[in-house]
Amino acid sequence: MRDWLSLVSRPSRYIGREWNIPAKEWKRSEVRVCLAYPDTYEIGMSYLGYKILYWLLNGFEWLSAERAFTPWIDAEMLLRSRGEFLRSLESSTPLKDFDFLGVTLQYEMNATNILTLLDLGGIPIRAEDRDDDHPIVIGGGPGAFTAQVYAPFFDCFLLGDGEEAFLELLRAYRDWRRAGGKRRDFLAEAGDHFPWLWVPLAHGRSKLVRRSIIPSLDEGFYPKVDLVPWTEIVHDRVSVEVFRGCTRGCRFCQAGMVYRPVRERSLDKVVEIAKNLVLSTGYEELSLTSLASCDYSMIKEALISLRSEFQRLGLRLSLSLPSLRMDTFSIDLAEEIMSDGRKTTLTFAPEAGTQRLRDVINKNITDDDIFKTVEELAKRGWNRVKLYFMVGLPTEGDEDISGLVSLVKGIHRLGKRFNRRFSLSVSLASFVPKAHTPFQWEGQLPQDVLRERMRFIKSSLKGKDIEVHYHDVDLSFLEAVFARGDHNLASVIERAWRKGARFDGWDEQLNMRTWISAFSEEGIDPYYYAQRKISYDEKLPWDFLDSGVDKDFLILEHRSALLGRASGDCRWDSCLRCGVCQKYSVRNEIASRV
Amino acid sequence: MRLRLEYRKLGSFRFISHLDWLNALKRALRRASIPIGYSGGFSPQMKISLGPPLPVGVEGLREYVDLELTEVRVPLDVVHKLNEELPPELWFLRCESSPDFDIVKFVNFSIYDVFLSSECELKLDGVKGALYKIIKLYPKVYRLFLFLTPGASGIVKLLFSSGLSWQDIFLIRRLGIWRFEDGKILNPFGEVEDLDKYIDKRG
Repeated sequence: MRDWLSLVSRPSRYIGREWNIPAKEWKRSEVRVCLAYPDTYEIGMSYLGYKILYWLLNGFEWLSAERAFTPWIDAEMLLRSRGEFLRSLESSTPLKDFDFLGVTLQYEMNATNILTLLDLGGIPIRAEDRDDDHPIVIGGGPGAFTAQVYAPFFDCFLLGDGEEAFLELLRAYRDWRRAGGKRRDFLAEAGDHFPWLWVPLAHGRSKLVRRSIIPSLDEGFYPKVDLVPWTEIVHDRVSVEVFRGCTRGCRFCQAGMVYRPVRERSLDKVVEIAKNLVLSTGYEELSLTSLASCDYSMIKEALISLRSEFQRLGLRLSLSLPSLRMDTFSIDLAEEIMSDGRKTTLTFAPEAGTQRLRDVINKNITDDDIFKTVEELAKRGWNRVKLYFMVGLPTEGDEDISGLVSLVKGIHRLGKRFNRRFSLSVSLASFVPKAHTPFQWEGQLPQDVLRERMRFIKSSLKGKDIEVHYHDVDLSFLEAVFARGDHNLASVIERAWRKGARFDGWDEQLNMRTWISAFSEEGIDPYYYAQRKISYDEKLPWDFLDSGVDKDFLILEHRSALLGRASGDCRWDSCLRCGVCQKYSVRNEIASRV
Repeated sequence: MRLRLEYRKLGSFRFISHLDWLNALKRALRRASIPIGYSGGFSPQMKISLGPPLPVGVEGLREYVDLELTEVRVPLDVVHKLNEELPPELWFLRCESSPDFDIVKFVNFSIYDVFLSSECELKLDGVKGALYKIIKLYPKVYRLFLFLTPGASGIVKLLFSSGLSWQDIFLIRRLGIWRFEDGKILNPFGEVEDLDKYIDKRG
C-alpha cells in the first residue's frame, strides 16, 4: 500500500489495479520490462502505442511489462522527502530493478519528465554512469527520430514500429542472459545486429539507423482487452487503430513523413477488435484512430458494421473520429457516428487561411470545400465547429493573416445563415519546423511576431461570438528548439531539470526563465535552433536516423512549397518517389483494394 | 425493476472519486450484461443513482446505490454477476428490490471511525450541532456519530476544522448511513438497527 496517497492531489492516478490487469507473477518473469511514460497517468494511459506494447509483451510467459508514469510534482516531492523510489504500478518494484526501462518519446517538452522517471526510479540519468546492475533504458516513438537530442540519457533507441522489433530485442536479451552474458555487453552486440537499434555509446553517430516497419497491420499484434482505469483519463475510450502512416503529405507534419507507407487494417479485423475491446472493458465509447481516419478506405463500411454489430449485441456505443476532413463525405460520417441525434462539436483543421498558403503547406482543401462543408453541416443542424490554424507558416504574409480572418468571418456568417445557434471556436498554434519534414530547413518566426499575428487575428474577430484560443508562443518556441535539436541540448535539459523544470508541456508549469537561464549557462543560443533557416547542403544532426524518406524528396517538396505547388497523395495519385517503399520493400496497403 | 444495492469501498479504492466510481460502476454493469435502463432525451443516461458520496480517501463499509433494470432479475444474481466484474474491495454485499424512498433524502445520520497516525486528543468543539456522540475506542481510534449534512466532504472538513490534516489521519472509515428517528436508526432498506451495538461494541 502506498501510504502517501492521501497527501497528494488526484491520488487515484497512483492506485493501479485497473480492471483487466493481467494475472501474472510479475517478479518471476525471466525478463522484466517497465514501460515508463514521461507524463501523467491520464495522458500516458491514453496513448495507443503504449497499450499495444503492454499487451503484446505480457502475452509471453517469460516476459512481463509493468507501467510507471511521471508522478505529479507534489508526489515527487513527497517521495523524495521520504527517500522512496518511484515504483511500477503492477508489482511496486523500484524502476532501477527492471531489466529494461522503455520510455516513449511522444513530445519534445516531456524531456524533463524523463529525467524525473530515471532519477526517482534510482537510475543514473546519464547512460555513461550506469553499470550492469541498472536497467537498459530504451527510447522509442516519434522522438526517436531526433534521438540525438536525448542520447546521453538513453542506452539505446528503437527507430520505427515498436511491436515486433522490441520483442525481438527482448528475446535476444533473454538468450544472451541465458548464455551468461552481461547486460552492458549485450547493448553493443545488439546495436551491431539490429539495424533499427541505435546505441549511442557504442556507435556515436556513425551508424545509419534504419527504421523498423511492420508491413501489414492485420498480421501484427493488436490487443483484445484494455485496462479500465479507475479515474478519468484524457482519451477515456477504447480505440482501434484503423491504419498507420499517412501519405497526404502535409509539409509541416512529421508523422506524415516518418510513418509511411499507409497500412490499413481490414474491415473484418476492425470490427472484431472493436467487439473484443468493448465487451471486455464495458467502455461506452469507441474511437477509430489513425493520423486521419476519414481517409480509411472502408470508413463508412466500418461505421455501419460497427453500428449494426453493437445493435445486435444490444449494447449502446458511441463512436468517435479524432478529426474530420473538410468535405461533405466527412459530414456524412459525422451523421453516422452521432448516435441518438446528438450533434455536438465538429473539429476541422484547415491549418492556413488562404488558398495560396494551403498549397504551400500541401493541405489539399479549397475555400470551396470549406464553405460547402460549413453550409452543409449548419443546414443539418450542427451547432458548433472548432477550427485549427497554424500561424507563422513558411512564406506567410499579412495577406494570409487577413485572409484567415476573413475566412473565419465567412464561415461564421455562413453558419449563422443556416443555423441560428451556430458557434465557432478557433484555435491558433505557432508553426514548429520539425526534423524529417520538407520544412526542416525553415525557421520559426520570432515570438513577438507570432504573438502580434495571433493578437491581430483575435482582435479582428472580437465581438463576433467566435472564441479564439492560442497555444502558448513560448512553449512553441521551446518545441522548435528541441524539434531540430542536436546533441548539445541534452545538457540544457538536464540543467533546466535540476533547476526545477517539470511538466513543461503544461502551460501553467512552464517557467521560461528557468529555460532561458539553463540555455545561457550552457552557452547555447536557443534562437539559433528555433529560428534559423538551414541550407540544403548542411549536414543535419538527424541525418543518420533514416525514416526511409529520401532527403532529395524532402528538398523537392520544400521547393514545391516555395513555389506554391501542391503535391498529390500516392494512395490515389501517382507515386512521388519519397523512397520508403523502394528502400524498405513495402507498399501502401489499402483495405478496399484487397 | 428497481433494486437497491449495498456495497463497500475499501483499501486504495477509497481514493476513487464519486464521479469516477459512477463511471467505473457503469462499465462493470455493462461487462456483467445487467440490463440497466436508460433515460430518454438527447444524451441518454444509465438509470443509476448513488447514495450520499464518500469523500475521496474515506473507506465505506456499507454504501448504497439504486439501479433501474429493464428486465426482472434475481437480486442475488445481480450481486454475483457484478462482483465478478469488480475487485473484492468494491464488492456488493446485498441487493433487494428497492424500497419506495430516495436514499439521499432518507438518511440523516452516519457513523465514522477515525484512525489517527499518532495519539492525540480529538476535540470537535466547533461542530456540536452535527455531532451526536464521540467515543474513543482505542488510544488512536475514535468513533464519530454524526448528523449528515448535505455535501460530500463533511467528515473531512469537520476533522480539518479541528486542526487535523491528512498527515495526522491514518484512515477514515464510514461504517454506514442511517435515518435517525426517535432515538432509533433505520438503514436504507428501511430496517431498524441497533444503535447501541455501535456504541458498546468495540471494533
